Amino acid sequence: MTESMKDLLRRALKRSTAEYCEIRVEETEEVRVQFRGKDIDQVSETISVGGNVRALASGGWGFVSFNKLDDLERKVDEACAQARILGDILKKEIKLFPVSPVEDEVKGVFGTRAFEVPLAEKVGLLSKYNELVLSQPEITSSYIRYFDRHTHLYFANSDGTYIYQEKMDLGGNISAIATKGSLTTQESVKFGSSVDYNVALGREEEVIGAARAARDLLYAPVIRADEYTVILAPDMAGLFVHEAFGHLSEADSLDENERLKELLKIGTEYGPKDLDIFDSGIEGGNRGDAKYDDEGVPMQKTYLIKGGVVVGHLHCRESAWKMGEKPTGNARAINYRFPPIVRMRTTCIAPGKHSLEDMLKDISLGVYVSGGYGGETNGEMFTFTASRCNMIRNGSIAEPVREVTLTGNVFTTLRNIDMIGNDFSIKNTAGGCGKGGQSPLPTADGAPHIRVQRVVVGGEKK
Amino acid sequence: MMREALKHAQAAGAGATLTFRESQSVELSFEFNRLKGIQNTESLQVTAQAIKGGRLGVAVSTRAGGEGEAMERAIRLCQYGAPANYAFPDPEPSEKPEVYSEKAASLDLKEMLRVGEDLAAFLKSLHPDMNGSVNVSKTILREGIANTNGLEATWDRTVVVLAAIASLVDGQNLVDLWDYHVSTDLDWDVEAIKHEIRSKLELARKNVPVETDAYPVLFTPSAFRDLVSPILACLDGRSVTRGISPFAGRLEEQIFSPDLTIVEDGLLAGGLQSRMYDAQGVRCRRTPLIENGVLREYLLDLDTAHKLGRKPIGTGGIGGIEPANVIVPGGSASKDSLLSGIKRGIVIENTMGAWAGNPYSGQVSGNIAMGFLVENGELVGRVKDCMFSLNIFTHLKDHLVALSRETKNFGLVLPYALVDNVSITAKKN
Repeated sequence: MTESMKDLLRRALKRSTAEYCEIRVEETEEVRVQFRGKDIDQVSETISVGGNVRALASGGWGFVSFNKLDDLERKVDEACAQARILGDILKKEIKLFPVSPVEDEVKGVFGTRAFEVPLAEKVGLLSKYNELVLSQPEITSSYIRYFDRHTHLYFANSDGTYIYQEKMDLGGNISAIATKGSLTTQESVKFGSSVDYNVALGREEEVIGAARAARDLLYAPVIRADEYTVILAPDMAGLFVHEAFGHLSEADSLDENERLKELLKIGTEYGPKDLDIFDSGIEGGNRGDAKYDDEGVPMQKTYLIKGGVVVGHLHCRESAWKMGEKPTGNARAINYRFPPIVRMRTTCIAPGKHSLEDMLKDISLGVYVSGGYGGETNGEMFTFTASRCNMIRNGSIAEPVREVTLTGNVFTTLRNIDMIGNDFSIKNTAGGCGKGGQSPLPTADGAPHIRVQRVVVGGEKK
Repeated sequence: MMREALKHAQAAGAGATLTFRESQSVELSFEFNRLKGIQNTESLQVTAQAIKGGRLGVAVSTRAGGEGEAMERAIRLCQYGAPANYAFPDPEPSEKPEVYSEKAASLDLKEMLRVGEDLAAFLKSLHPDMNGSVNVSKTILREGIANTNGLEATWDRTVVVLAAIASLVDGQNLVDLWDYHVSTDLDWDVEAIKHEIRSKLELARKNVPVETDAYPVLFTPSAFRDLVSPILACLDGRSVTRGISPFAGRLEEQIFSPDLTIVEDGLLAGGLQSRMYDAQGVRCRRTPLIENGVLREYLLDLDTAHKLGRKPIGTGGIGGIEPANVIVPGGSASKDSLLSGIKRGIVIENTMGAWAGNPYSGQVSGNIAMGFLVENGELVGRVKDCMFSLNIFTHLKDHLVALSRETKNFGLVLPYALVDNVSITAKKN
């Protein structure tokens, strides 16, 4: 099967009349299970089969995606013709950073294979979580969702690369929902992995904790809007670094933007001396990890900031060539319907030297943020909405507050990090990242606790 | 193939529905003021739903001729699926919505290139350091549905999109201004997009301080979406039947200002999501959800309609409620007159992160990604590093000043909304 796909792709690529051409074919099977309240809400399976051809000629990209795989040669013709139409207009030299051709077949090295676990077992596990959620005091409903995917991904390009990769992806979200009068609150347990179904198991204590947090929020006041010193727990610090600096480091938005390139120039100082930020596709088992990216470039660990200074960017082959840097294995497409663009994988702040107690002790009034719904950035500013929050009063974590949304300028907020914790954890969830209409792409975040001065927190007016 | 798959379901003792969607699209993208790529997408997807033994199974296939395998799987999944205390409906006549345009379908690459290049050149002309992005796309879709009760229908739609983004790095100021036109017809107004961006660029480059306080805020249609989306979550029949929606048990109650009406219209001419039938085979129609502030109806599928003892309204989806076109009808005042009536306030063009959060609490907070301070009815400069926060249940009841007569269609059809007493939190200097 694999051998014949290799022949098929290579035969089709011989038709290429472009400077560069690649073909990607995907076969994915997905299972989804969902509970809402006491009932199972949905059980579904998806078989997704399709491919694409991407071609480059004189600076113009042609891209064709399709479900019918029976006429690949015509698709190559079509993509090359499109690229040439553009190339004739542009007449621009754009090259891809040279990468040695690879021929590789990467079988997945998995723990428990989610796609081999019987559906009845998955439904049974989630049903037990659901019963546990609904048995907690003041919990009125639940929302549980789980998915797993098993993908066979074939890639070949006109440089001579042929790669087959087997991938697995899974994620889950177990939400406890509490309602009192007209107020509804919720808190969740989230998990995800690219290698092991067992991450779905043994979540009972966390589920009870989430139910307790949802219940506590029923009685929590809305936070008073103001500027606060904020301590972000690892999950939230991870989300922060993804939104606040990760996106800014994606070089496809820098490579032709001279002013932005200047702001992110290697050597620019952006944080305290002990701030290290990196992105990695090789930490092991995180969502988005793989051996090669969607241009056939090996993944790696890339430092973006070291010692508070910009030291690198995330690249595809085109952005690497344009900026004179090396590709980093960050060209990613969410599926065959899209061309690869520069995306993060597991983005982390490396651990520092401070304990949580150190961070707390001199804060008279602040906010401790330990759970969130999600975030967003526009390059310059970031924001994220917290789900689990407490006030910090006189050096101690105090009462819970709700409806906390944090925002800040990316550059000034990085400079306002004044303490980096000595703990560290990587968080995988069922969610993902959005960019260029490709969402949710599997990513993960990692961080220790961090302390940030002068964060704007929205809420009720003073 | 579809008929065969449905016959197979009948033979297996299941009631079943097959929906399909087949599309072809062409998209031209311009980045950094120049043509970047052409993208052609051919896409097909078939979804099978089967009810057997009182349970629902669902399967999807994107494989050409995948109807049979999808149906086979859907039938097998019934043993685990959601309880289904309903049957797929008998065929009921519906009408084809006016959402297909021959003119849009025949839009050619040459014209797309011409318009894209014109807009890209315009953006570049605004500033030497401008990074202009333009997207021009055309999609032709065919959707359809068939079920074991004899329902069989197909309908076509065209969608044309023209979008422009002006991005400028001004010191450490990143300015992003954008506008777009989405339509089922080829009726874009390129000059209107140019005017929208040109008229705000200089203001967007001039930062002005704003103090933390409560202000009247004029939300553009894009920003108003952040206030309407949690209302839709609360109107969702599934949140109502689970008792987590604050609207549960409140039909016919005055919930919002008499100025606010929200309508679902699956047959809307020019509606980006118009269709003859929903994904469960219920015919689409126009249904007031909120009428002059009074809660009239929920968004329902077959399951929630059955549980709530109401009739379905054509908003059933696969695994959830799927409204087609949600419309907030505009008021009588123009957006310019709403602006000119603000003594000191804020215009919020775009928000960031306001989608995140708990929709049932009514609290909406987000960063003002692009917003302007208004003094004596005039925009005076950009407000930055600040957040807005309000509660839709109180603000759209007691503080909704007016809705503009102009509306924008982007899936939702929304006007500008002037809301008073919105909490704005600004960074201290």
